[in-house]
Amino acid sequence: MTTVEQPMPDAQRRHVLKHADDGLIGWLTTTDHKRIGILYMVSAFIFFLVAGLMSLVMRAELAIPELQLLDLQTYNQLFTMHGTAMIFFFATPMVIGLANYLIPLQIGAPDVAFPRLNAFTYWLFIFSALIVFGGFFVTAGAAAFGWYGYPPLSTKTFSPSVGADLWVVGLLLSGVASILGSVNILATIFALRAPGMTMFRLPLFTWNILVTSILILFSFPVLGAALALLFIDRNFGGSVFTTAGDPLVYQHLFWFFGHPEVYIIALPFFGVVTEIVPVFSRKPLFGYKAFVFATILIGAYSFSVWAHHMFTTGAVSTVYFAITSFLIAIPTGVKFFGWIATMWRGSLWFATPMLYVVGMMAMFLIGGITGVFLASPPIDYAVHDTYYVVAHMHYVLFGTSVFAMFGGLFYWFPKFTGRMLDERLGKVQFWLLFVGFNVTFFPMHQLGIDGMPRRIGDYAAERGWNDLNLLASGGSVLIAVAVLLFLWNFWTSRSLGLPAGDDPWGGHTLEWATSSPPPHHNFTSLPPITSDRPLLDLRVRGPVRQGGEPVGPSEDERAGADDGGGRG
Amino acid sequence: MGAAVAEEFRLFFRTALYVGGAGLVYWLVSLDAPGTVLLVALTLALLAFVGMAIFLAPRGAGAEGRSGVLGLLNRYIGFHEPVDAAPPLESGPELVPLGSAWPIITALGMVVIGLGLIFGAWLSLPGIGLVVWGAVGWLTQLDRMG
Ligand code: HEM
Ligand SMILES: [Cu+2]
Repeated sequence: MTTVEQPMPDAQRRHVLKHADDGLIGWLTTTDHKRIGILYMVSAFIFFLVAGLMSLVMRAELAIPELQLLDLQTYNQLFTMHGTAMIFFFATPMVIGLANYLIPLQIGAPDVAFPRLNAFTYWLFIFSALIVFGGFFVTAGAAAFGWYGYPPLSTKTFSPSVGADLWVVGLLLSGVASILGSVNILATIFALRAPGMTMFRLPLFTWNILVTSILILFSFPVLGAALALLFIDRNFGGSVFTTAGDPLVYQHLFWFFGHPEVYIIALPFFGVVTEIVPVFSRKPLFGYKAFVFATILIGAYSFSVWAHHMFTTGAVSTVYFAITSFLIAIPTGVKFFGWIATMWRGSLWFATPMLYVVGMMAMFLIGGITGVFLASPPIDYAVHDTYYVVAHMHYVLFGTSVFAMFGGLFYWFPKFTGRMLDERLGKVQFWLLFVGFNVTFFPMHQLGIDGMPRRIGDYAAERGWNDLNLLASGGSVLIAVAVLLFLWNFWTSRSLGLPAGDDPWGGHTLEWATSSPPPHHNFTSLPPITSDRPLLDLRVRGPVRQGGEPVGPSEDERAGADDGGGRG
Repeated sequence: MGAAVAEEFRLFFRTALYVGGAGLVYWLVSLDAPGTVLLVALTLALLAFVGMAIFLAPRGAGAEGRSGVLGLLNRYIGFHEPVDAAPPLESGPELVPLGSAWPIITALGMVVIGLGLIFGAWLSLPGIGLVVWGAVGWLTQLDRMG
């Protein structure tokens, strides 16, 4: 590639005292953001497999009426641990793993701001996840009160198992890890950007992670407070959420964290989509600042909608929370239009990353629409706690954290390993996943409307839910096959995949300006940074714009580029 | 008039304005104490970040923009960013070891303390030991390596 080299500034070159070690000790003691990123991603994926296995067992139980495989208490443990693990030990750490690997590369930094804190964060997360799963090995079993642990069900009286305490303490510690991780990411983005990388030239993945980190920083402490008080109620004679206090306060605290958490999962994957769409449309992104603004707005709004999860308590203002919830549809819509406008008249290239990304858009759109329905109190009153909600949340969560994750993994795997994943297997996997997902979850909308409650291991044959449940369980087998196919692809491509080179997709952002995988301190040189897409600039008009230029292209130029004329 | 506040801080300020406003409306609409307290606390926490701007943002890097209320608004919530704005928080060269065993030891210690809360205080003692050992090792690692 024809880069005009800009030497790494000395202030950012850190001194290395000891050299990387490839053995076990090397991985246990690593402080390299790339290795820690990989550890995060691999661990998160393993937890995805574990939580996915639990869901398969649940779907097996639900395939036909009555109880066959499980007893009700075990079923309760399974959905609780499935939900907990998917949210806290799969989706969130997958985000942190991607951020860890990519943020320093995207902003032209040699590492994160606090490399040892980064390692600490990872190990704390792993240990806390193991504590939570440890619940399965105590006599009375794991936590069984749903992933949000409402008292009074989660008090000692109704959930006496030690497994419940392990759940509380494990989540508390993993919350500490998330908070420290977000501090590290914020410090990295704020302090380690390469010269020329102003805030409004940050790649959009980085912007989304930045806002996500702010959400983590201000929402996880609230979860921590709720869990600590719950623990005191359970073990030290407190009654904050019981006799002296009010269980509703727990719900407020939990969802003040819980709704931002949904965006902690969604925003980074919006960021992944926003990176992939322009590259595979062969055009600059449409409306950079609109994307930034929409991201910030989604972040801000997400703090004011929490009690839409509490409509049916009858104790919250339905008007307030309905209106604020509807508001979120606006910036989200801005992003959708931005993606579509970017693809409009582009030369679309449906390689695997783009395929998954388009899949994500379709799935999230459905989840977003049912979300607007659920934010309308009269509808929510009717379908709250039914399978309609299970369908909605999987369209939103699976759409982002699984479809967009696979898009991101196919996109960046070459950067991580220097080799390509197999495209043909990837496409077969996509269609299996797409069909499997919809066959599993689409019927659940109807089941919910037909009145099937969520969180039941058993239902009577006369209720008329049999066929759709069987269908859903069949679909989940397809999902499992798709995931196995990915594992096979991953395993073989690591050593046998086609060599990727530095920049197999024609990327726009800085991570593609270094080797695959990048050298120890990421860059030996950097291209000039005069916009949010330094590599595209370099390809399109050569190395002309050095220093002292206006922030990015002028507005006219951008408008020209946006309608597909421009430099593309 | 001074230069625009760094985008790093305006970001928090804009969010604080929204959350503060949302809190006020929430109180008026619902008179609900827990929710209002959460929104007010969040507003204050966000403003604390903006407060850092007063101390940390680069100053006088070229006076620009209007004076008066509009200028003020523009500087605090506007979307303009000076050309080649430098990060407001400078990082100096820092000595960083490539590997360190202290993070994993410290993390293990914290987890053992947590388990002590469940299984008995006796278990917290080794946990505290590990955390202290890890933290001391962590803080002195660079000195010992020269
Ligand atoms: C791999 C395919 C998946 C299948 C087959 C699946 C299936 C299920 C099933 C059967 C339930 C229990 C429904 C009930 O009894 O109420 C459930 C609940 C849940 N799932 Fe999934 N799921 C999958 C993926 C995911 C993903 C990727 C996430 C999030 C990132 C997720 C998050 C949740 C949550 C939060 C719950 C609610 C748990 C609770 O009620 O406390 N699931 N899922
Ligand atoms: Cu919500």
